[in-house]
Amino acid sequence: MREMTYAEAIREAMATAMSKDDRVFLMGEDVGRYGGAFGVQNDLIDRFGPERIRDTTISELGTVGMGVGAAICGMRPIVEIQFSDFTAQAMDQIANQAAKLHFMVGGQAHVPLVIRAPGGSGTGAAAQHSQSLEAWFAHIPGLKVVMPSNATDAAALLLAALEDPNPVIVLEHKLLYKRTFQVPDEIPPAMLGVGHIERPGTDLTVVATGVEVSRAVEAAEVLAGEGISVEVIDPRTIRPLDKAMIIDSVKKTGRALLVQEAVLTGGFMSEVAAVIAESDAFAYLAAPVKRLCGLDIPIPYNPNLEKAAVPQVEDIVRDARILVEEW
Amino acid sequence: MPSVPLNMPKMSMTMEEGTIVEWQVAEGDAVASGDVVAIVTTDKVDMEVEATATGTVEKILHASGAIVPVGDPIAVIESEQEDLLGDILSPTPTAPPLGRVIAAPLARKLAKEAGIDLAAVTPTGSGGIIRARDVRDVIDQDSRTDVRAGSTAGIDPRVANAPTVTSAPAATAAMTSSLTDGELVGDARSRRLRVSTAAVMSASAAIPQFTVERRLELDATARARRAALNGVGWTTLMVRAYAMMLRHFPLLGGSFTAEGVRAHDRVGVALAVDTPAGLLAPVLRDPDQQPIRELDAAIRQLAADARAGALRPDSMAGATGTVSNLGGLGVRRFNALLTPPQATALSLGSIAHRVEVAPDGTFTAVLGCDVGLTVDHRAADGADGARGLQFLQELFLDPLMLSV
Repeated sequence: MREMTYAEAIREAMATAMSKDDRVFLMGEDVGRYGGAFGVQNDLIDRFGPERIRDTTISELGTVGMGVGAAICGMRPIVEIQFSDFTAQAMDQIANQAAKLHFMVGGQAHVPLVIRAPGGSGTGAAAQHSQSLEAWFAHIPGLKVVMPSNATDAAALLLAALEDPNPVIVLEHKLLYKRTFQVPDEIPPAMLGVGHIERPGTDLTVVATGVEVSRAVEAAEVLAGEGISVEVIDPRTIRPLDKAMIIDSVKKTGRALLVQEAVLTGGFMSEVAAVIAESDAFAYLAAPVKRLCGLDIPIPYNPNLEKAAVPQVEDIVRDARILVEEW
Repeated sequence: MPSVPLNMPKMSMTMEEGTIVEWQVAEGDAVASGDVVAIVTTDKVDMEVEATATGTVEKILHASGAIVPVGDPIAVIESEQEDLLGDILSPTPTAPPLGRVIAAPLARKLAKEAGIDLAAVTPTGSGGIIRARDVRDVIDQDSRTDVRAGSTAGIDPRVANAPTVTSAPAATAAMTSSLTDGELVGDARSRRLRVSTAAVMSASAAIPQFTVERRLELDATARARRAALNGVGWTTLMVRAYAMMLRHFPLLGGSFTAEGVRAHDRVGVALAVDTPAGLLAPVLRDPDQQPIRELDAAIRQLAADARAGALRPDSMAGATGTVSNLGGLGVRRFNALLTPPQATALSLGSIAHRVEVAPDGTFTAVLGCDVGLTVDHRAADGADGARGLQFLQELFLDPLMLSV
C-alpha cells in the first residue's frame, strides 16, 4: 500500500492508460500548461506532449463533440469538463450524440468516450460551480455514470471506463482531490456496475455516493459506539446500479438511509428508494425508506450555509438513530 | 331528567329490522354516550348499538332474540343531560375507526410467518403503527398467548384467526376434540351463522332446482390473463363472466314470483367466503360494469373484510346470483344450492390441466375448470342453463370481452 491523493491516483491512471495505449489522449480547458484547474494533470504535458494533452477553447459543446468524433474514429479520448456544472453547455453532445449514436446507426459505430467532470460543494465556489448533477446523466440510456469516492476507485474505475466501448461519465468530487488515501501498489482491476460494502452492519443500510461515502463511514463509527450497527454501501457506479447488493443489504437490516449531496427532489436516491420499494426487500422493511439529501436550493456562497445545505456526518448520525430507535 | 328512547338503528340501506343478539348493559347501569349497549344482527352481520345519551339505563324494552323494526325503541335511557344542545355543541372526540391495521411491512411479514393476528398486536409506533418489534414482543411471549393462531401446520390459512384452531393440524385437533355429547359446537357468532344458513337453505330446499355442468376451457384466458387482463385473479374473471351472463339472460338473472320471472335492472354477485365464523356471502354490485382491475381489488378487499369480520351490513344485500369456489380446497366439482330469490348459483371446481383427446386422435393438456350452474327450474329450463354455460365458454375463448 502507499499513500496518494485522489488527484494523484487519477493522474497515474491516465498516465498508465496513455503509456499502454496510443489511442488514449486528453482534452480540456487548462489541462496542459496550467496542469488542470485542480492540478489533476500537473506535469502530464511534459511526459506526453501537447498532442495528447490538449488545451481547448472555452467551448464544452465543441470539445465533447470532438471527443465523440475521435471516439467514433477509433481513438480513446478523455474529455475533462472543468466543473461538472459546465456539462450543461455540452449536453447535446453528451445526451443526443455520445449516448445515442451507437443506436442511431444500428450498432455500426461505438463511442468509447470518457468524460471526467468534478462536481460537489464545499470549496466556496457557489451555485454555478458546486452542483451534483448525477441524476441528469443517470436519466440518459446509453450513458454510464461513475462516482468514485476514494483514490483507488477513482483510478480503477477510470481505467475500466477507458476499456468500455460506450460513453462513460466519471463524476469526480472537488473536495476529494487533495485528500490522501491508502492505495494498493498496483491498481486492482474494476468493473462498472459493481458496488462495494464499505463497512458491514446489521441494523441499518446506508447507501451513499461521492463525498457522502466517507461521511457515512464516519457516522457509522459514531453509531457503533452507541451499539447501532450500520452497513455502508457505495454503489460506485450509479448506472448501471448494483441493485442486488442494495436489496440484499436491506433484506438483512430492514432499514435504509439513502444519502446524497445532490438536492432531494428528483435525485438519484429517489431511484434507489424506488428500487427498494419495488423489490422483495419491501416485505423486510421495518421502517420507511429515508432519503437524506441536499436541500432543494442552489448551493450558497456563505461557507456556513454551504455546509448546512448538504448532509454532514452529524445529519447522518441523527437520521440513522431515528430509523433504528423509533422503528 | 328527561328519558331518551334508544331506537333500533338503520345500519344499511336495505335493513328493515334487526335481531337483538345480546344486551351488554342491564337496567340501572350507567352508560355514556357512545358506549356499546347491545349487539344487533342483520343480514348475518353483527353490529354494535351505541348509547345515544349519557345517563342510566331506565328500561330495556326487548330481550335478546327479539326482532325489532328499524326505528322502534329498544330501550330507554334516563339522561343526565338537561340541555341536549350541549351535546350538539361539544363534538365527541372519538376518531373514526380505521378500516385496516397499520403496520410496517416487516411487522406484517413476521406476523404472517408466526401466524399472529396483527389486529391483536399492541402498536407502539407513532401514529398507532405496529412496528416489527411489537410483533417480536408477541413472539417472544410464550406460545400460549391467545393471539397466536398457531395454524402453521393447518390446511387452510384462511382459518388462521379462528379462536378454535389450535397449534395441532386440523385432523389431529378433531381426533383429540374435547367436546362433550350434546355440547354446542363453535362460538355464539358461528352458531348464529349456522342458524341463519339453515333458514336460507331450508327455504332453498322447497325450490325445484337442477345443476348443469360443463368443463370450461381456459387456455386462451390464461394466456391473456398476465398481459391484457393485468394479472387479475381467476375468481375475478369468473365473477365477471357470471355477471355478464346474468345480465344477458333475463330468466337466469331474474327472480321467480307467483306471476312469473321478474327481471332485475342490476346484477349483484354474492361471493361465498369461508370465514373463521362460517360462510358469508358479501355482494359485488354490477361487477360486469367495473374496470377489471378495480373489480379484482374490490373482490380481494371484500374477501379480506369478510374474513376479518369487518363487513358492512349493506354489503350483504342485493345479490341476484352467487358464486362458490371450492377449487382451492382441491374439489373438482360440486353443485351449489340456490339462495332464494336468486335464480342461479355458480359452483367452481379446481382449475387444472386435464388430458383431452383432440379431433385428430392426439392427446393434449388443456387448462380448464369444471363449473356447475344451479338453476331454479321454475324460472328457467335445462337448455337455458346450458346456454348460460355456453355463453361463459365463449367469453373465456375470447377473454378480451372480460376486460371491457
